[in-house]
Formats: sequence, C-alpha cells, structure tokens
Amino acid sequence: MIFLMKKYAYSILFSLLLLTFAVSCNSDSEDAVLTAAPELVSIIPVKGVSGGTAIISGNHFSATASDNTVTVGGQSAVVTEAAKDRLTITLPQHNDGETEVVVSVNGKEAAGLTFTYVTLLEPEVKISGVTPSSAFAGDEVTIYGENFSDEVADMSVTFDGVKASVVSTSANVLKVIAPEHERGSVIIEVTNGTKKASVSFTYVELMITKNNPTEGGNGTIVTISGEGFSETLADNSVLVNGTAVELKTSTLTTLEVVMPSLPTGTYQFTVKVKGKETTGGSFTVAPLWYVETVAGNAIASCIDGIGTKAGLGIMQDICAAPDGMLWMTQRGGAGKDAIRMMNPSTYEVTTVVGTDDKTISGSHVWAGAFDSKGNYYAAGKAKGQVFKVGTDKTISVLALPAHNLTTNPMCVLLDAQDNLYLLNRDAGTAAKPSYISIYDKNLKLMKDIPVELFAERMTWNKDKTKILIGTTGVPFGLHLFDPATQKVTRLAGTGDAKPTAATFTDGESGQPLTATVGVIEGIAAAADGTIYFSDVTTFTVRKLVPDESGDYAKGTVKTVAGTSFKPMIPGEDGLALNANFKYPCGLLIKADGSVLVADGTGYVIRRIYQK
Amino acid sequence: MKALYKILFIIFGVTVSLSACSKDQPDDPKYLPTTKVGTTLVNDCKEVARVFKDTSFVVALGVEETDLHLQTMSGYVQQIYVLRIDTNVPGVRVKVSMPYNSNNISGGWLKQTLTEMASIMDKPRARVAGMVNGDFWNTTAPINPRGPVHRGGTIVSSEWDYSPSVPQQALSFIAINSDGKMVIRDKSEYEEMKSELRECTGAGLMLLSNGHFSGTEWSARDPRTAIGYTSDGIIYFLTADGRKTFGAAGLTYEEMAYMFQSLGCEGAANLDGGGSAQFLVRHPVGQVFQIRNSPADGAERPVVSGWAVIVDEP
Repeated sequence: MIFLMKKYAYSILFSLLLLTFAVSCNSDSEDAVLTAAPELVSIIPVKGVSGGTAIISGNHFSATASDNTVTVGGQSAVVTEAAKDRLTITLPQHNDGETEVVVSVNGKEAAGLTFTYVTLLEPEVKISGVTPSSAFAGDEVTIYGENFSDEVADMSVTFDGVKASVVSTSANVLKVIAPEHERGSVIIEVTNGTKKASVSFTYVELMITKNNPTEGGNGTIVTISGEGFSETLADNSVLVNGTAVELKTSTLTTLEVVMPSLPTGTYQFTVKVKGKETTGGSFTVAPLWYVETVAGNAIASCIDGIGTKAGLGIMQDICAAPDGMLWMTQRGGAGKDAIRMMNPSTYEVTTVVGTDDKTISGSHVWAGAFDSKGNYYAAGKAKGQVFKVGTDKTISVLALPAHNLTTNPMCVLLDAQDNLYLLNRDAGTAAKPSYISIYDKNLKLMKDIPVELFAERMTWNKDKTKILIGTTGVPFGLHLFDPATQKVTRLAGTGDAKPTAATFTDGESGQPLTATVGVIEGIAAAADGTIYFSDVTTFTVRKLVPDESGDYAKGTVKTVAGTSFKPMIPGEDGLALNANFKYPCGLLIKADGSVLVADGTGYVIRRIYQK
Repeated sequence: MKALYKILFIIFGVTVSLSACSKDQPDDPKYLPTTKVGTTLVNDCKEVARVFKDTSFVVALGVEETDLHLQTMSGYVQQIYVLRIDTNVPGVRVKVSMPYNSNNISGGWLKQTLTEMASIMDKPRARVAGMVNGDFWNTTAPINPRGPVHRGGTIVSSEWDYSPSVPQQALSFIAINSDGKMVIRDKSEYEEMKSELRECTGAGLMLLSNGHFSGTEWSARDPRTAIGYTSDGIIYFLTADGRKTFGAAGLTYEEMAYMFQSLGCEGAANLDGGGSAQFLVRHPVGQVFQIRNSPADGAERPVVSGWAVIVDEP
C-alpha cells in the first residue's frame, strides 16, 4: 500500500513538473502585447466640428473603451467604441484650428495625429442670370449662378411664389419649368437649404404690337415688334397671306422679315413660335419706291457734266426756275460755294455762279427761290447776305434795309406778289428767336416776325398760304407757320431730343406727333398735301401724309427712303427702304411725282421714284 | 513491469510538454482572415477556398475598404478590393460621377479618369471618399454609355444602346431611388421607374436578384467591377484585378455573385470591366485620391461614368 502511495505521489509530482514546463512555454508573447505602447495611424475625418464622431486607427489600443484615454487639443474625448486597432470617439468642444490627438493606454502614450476643427458654413446662393429672361408659362428656364445643390430634391424654385418643377441641377446651372402665371414681371426665388437668391423674370404672351414699315412690296424688309418671339431664329415662323416669308433676324421682341411678292392689298402677319400662334400688324402692298443717283460722281468738286459725270460739292438746295431748269446751291465755304443748274430731263449740270466768284465765296450759300420774273435769290448764311442772280446770271448782294437780320440767313421764299420772305436762324429761344422777315418787291421791310424755333429750312405749303419749317434743334420736328396769325404748329415729331437708332420710329398711324424726327434740311409739299422732308439725323427721306380730310394732325409719318442710321458714300441705290443716304438735304418734287434729293455731303443728286 | 511503467510515464510526460509548445511548431499553417469581409468570404462563400491575406481600414465614417488576396475554389488566385458603404451613417451617400462633374452632353459624351473626376467632384460638405468605374460605353462616337444616366435627380440620358455584338452590356441598371435606397433591376423595369431614380447608370449582368443568382452561360474570367447592396442600407463596391494568371486571375460572374450573396446582398450587378475595372479611395493618411487596384491597362483608363461615395466632411 505504502509502495503504491509512493508510486502515485511520484507520478503526480512528475506530471506537475512537466505541466509547469508546458505552461511556461505559452505566455511570453501575450504579456509583451499587453504592455506595448499604442501606435497611431490615422484619424478619420481629419476635419470636423465639436461633437462630431471620429475614428482613430492604430495598434495596441485596449478593447475596453474605458482603458483608453484620448485627448484632442488637450480636451478629453469620450471613447464610444474600442478595438485593439480602432477607437471611435466623440470630438470634444474646441475652437477652430489644428489640434493634436493623444491616446494613452495603460499609462503609455502615443501622439502624432492632428485634427482640425472648423466651422461649417452653408455657402450663399447666388444668381448670375436667367435665360430666357422672358418666356411663356411652361417653358424651360435656365438659371445660372453659384452654390446650387446638385440634388434636384434639395432645390426649391418659385415664380412669384408658385413652385416650379426642377428639371435638372448642378452647382452652377439650374433648369426649371416656368409654372402657370399671367403675363407680367415676377420674381424667381431660388432656395438651397436656408440660403436664397432671386432674379426677375417676365411672363410673356405671343403678340404682335406693330410693324415697320407698314407699306412696301417685294423685298421690303419689315420689322415686326411684339413679344414672345424666340431668339433662336428657327423657332419662329412668319406667314403672310398663308405663305411663309423669309426671316432674317429674331430677338425676344422683334422679327425681321423680307416681304414676298404679293398682290396689291393690305395684309396681316401670322407669327408661330413653339406651337403658339398670333396674328397682327398691317402691311400694305403698293407700288414701291426706289432710289437712283442722277447727278454727281460722289467726289467733291465743281465740274460740269451730264449725270454722274458731273462733279458736285455739298449740295444744299434744289429749286425749279420758271423755265423748268433746276437751280441748286452748293456750299462749303470759300472756293466751294457755287450755284449750279441741272436739266431736269438729261441731268446735265452746268455752273451759274462758280466757286471762283468773290461775291458768293465764303457765304455757305444755303437755300433760294425765284420771283415771278425769273430772278433767283439765295441766302448767304455765313456772310449775312442775300444774293440775287438776274436772268442774265449776274450775281449781286441784295440791299436789304436794316432790321433784325441775324448773321444766319438760311432760306428765301417769294410769294405771288414777289414779296420776299427770309428765314434768319438764331437760337430759337424767347431771348434769341429766329426771325421770318418779310419785304415787299421794293425790299421794304414789312414784317419782322420772331419765331421760337431753331430752324434752317422753310418752304411753302401746297397752296402757298402757310410756311412749313423744319428745325435743327429742340423742338425737333416739322412745323407750320401761319404768317397771318404768326402762329406756329408742330405737325410731326415728338419735339424731344434727336432720335437714335433705338428710338427711331415713324410713330403711330394717325398720330404724327409720336414720330421721332431729327434735323430737317429739306422740305417739299406735294399737290396732294403730302409733305416730304429730309431727316439728316436718321439719313432718311420721310413724308407726312394727312388723313383723307387733309388734316395733318391726324396724318401719318412714313419713311420713304433710306436705311435709318446707316449713312454711306456713295450711297446704295435700289429699293428705297434698303438704300442709303449720306446727308439728305433739299428736296424737289418733279412733275412725274418723283422726288429729287440733294444728298449734301454725298456730293450727288438722287431721285426717289415709284414703280 | 515497474521499469516499463516508468518508461511509459516519461513518454507521456514528454508528449504533453511538446504539445504545450505547439504555437512554435504549428501543424496547420493556414492563414485566418483578420477582417469581417475576409472572414465572411471564407466561412460563407462557397466559391472562396482560402484567404492568403486581408486588411481593412477606415476611409471615412461609414466607409471601410478591405483588400483581399484569396484563392477561389477553382484554384485561381485573386486580388480583390471591397468598399463597404454604410448609407445609414448621416451624410454618406453614393452618386453617379461624370467627367468634369458636368451633365452637359450637348457636345457629345466625354471620358475622364476616376482620379480627375474625384478631384473635380470633391467639394466641402460633399467630399469624395471612394469611386469605382461605371457603365459600359459605345466605343465609337459619340461614346455614349450603354444605359441611362441620372445624376442628383437630373436625367442626363434615358437612352439604352443595346448591341448584340456586346450581349453582356445594357442588361440592367443600378440606381438610387427617391428614398435614397439602392435598387438594381432588369432594364425592362427602367421606363416605369425612371422618374423616381435620383442616381442611375446602366449595368451588365444582374448577379443577384432577391438575393439569388440565376446562373449564366458566360464563364469568362476577367477584371471586374460590380456593385451590390443589402436590404439594410449597406452598399458594396467590389473590384477584382485580372489577366494576371499567377497574381490575380480575374473573377467569373458566378464567383462574384456568390461573394455578394455571402455578404448579405439582395441585389448586385456587373459594371464595365477589363481595363475599365478601377477602384479609388481617398487615402486616409495622405488625403489624396489613389487608385487602389492594378488596372489591366497598366494605367488609369478614362471612363464615361463612375459611382462615387460622398461624405459630409468640411
């Protein structure tokens, strides 16, 4: 028994010894891990805000959250999750700026990571533009700007408070459908989060408000005004008499078309834009006006010759002599002033008083007229004189009595009794009026009538009872002066500042005072009451047509010839409204109804005619 | 007898001692995965034989990359990159990327590398954390993608361009719907669903539908990119290198499908592959955009679209 006990005791002791040896082989490395210092690899994110979450990656952290101590910028961070290679923390409160991240585990510390505190700002929404700025309800509208969301769901867009459907969005481009709304201006408000921006927008309807010109024929270029047109030319179509016409240009408010060949009559325009359609405007097809150059070679000179072989200077005025010949003043100062004569049939130009004549030289001879005996009188503006050219073609200075003659006599008229009317230009103010001085045939001053117009041109009306006056300054326009009452009435023009390319208009039909009119240097009254006038400012020849009763107040201004604000030398001939003048001055109506135009600094005589 | 007893006792004792030191002399040197993805693939994917090496790291809150060197049951060795995206984390979302971050295709479609796309798309409060290549495209002008493209609710294109010459393209679509959830569907369902899709690209073969793989006649082994999603808001981007027989052979559709299935995905689909298969993340230490895989072209290939992970960081 004792033997057995000894044997078992010996065995047990030996086994314990071996087991102790075995256990001792297994524990060295684990102890080493538990005591190793932590290592830091990264912190994600690297920027953020107080209270946010971050994950620190590394090694030798404790899987027990409370065994890890983390500070960020010296402030203690709560460890919410822990593993040996990752710690999830809640970022402590800290001011903006770069901070150091420190992790301590079992008394051993690791650093080397930085975390940057920032303030999250929501960027301001900005709008740089909207295209189109006017459109129909249901159209796609593109809004350009900054800091839009690239998520459709984030963007809110309203038109006058009505929510719009967002088609697409990116940081800088937002496309929406304009919601239903009546015509007029509205505010588009764009909202991204708490940030808003706005821009104005106009709802339009497709409509035609007017067209210019209102008459013409094949090839006439007509500008149709209105709204709802497309800037993309191909989106618009225009029909006249059921036929599509050629479109040249388009804007949101204008369409420029070329009229086709149409029978005589009055037509309306039909405009179609993106499925919408409207009809309006009025265009009368009548015989067309054309322009041709009949005399002068467009080079300043004083050379006699036939038609365009002749050399002309600055041609100011044309006047018909009793024998039918046409006398013309040519101005320009010393060495250039002359009186020329032109055959109305052959357009042969000869010289009556040459540029070498000392009487006329330097006078800037302006406009003239004939008496019943065939004597010619012309105003010598710069010399303050009036010249007389006798039937023998000798020139002399008219001995006018002392009166309110200024230094700028511009025009001469003679009535049936050979009384002489002289327009003396001055500032046209109450203090410094222009004067119309009337002398009898013996040159006795009968009247000296102040006229508060800055005027350079006058001519008789159709029955020679009143005087038509064109002004050179405010009030711009065509005026009628009654010598009997000395009353001045403006027949055409707004009277305001000179028209510009943007403000040029013939005005409303039947409302001649709505037309914008510039400097008038030529006037001619036709037997039917139509008054033609040259508009130097707009480079056009225009007319005032009275209504059927002959009332000018209800008349209509129409541009007859010239492309407004496109002066050319030599001017292009052809279809009158496509032609160009350089400086249209004196006018004369021929027996056939055509109109001669002294194209001043164009150095030519032009003829406007119908066919 | 006594001597024999002692001898046996000593032999027993020595054996016990040696076995206690077994860590130094293992009888099974097989590597055990250290990552959740690696462990899941080894344990639950019937196509994965073993993992040689795996590692994972945090790219952003809710975004984690896992790199795996593994062997499939067919014996091929693979190099695989997986991005796990938890869309339940506030600010984490996936979006379609396009060259120059522009939806403007009026001048035709463009191509750009993922690195460039990420640099341009990246902005405060919408930082790019990762990206993979997107849909296939027609290689002839206007190089349009084979399927539709939606970005942020904007329908950039709703066109499909299926060609019998490339029958593995334009078969399905990957999308984020108006609720922010991922959906992967057959292209036949696109028209009905398209108004609800905030983000969308076309895709190739559907790998999983309702969590099931329907099989395929195509068995080629290629570099591939695919996307899968779980019902609880986890999205996986997966890119496998390929065409390198001894380092990365490339995956078959079947292998990829069962990998997504083991990760718990209910839907998955294949995207453009070959030289287009590319996987990018913002490096967590360097804070630079880095292509993590080895594109088969030997360099980054410009692509027409991508899928990006966006996070809300300053």
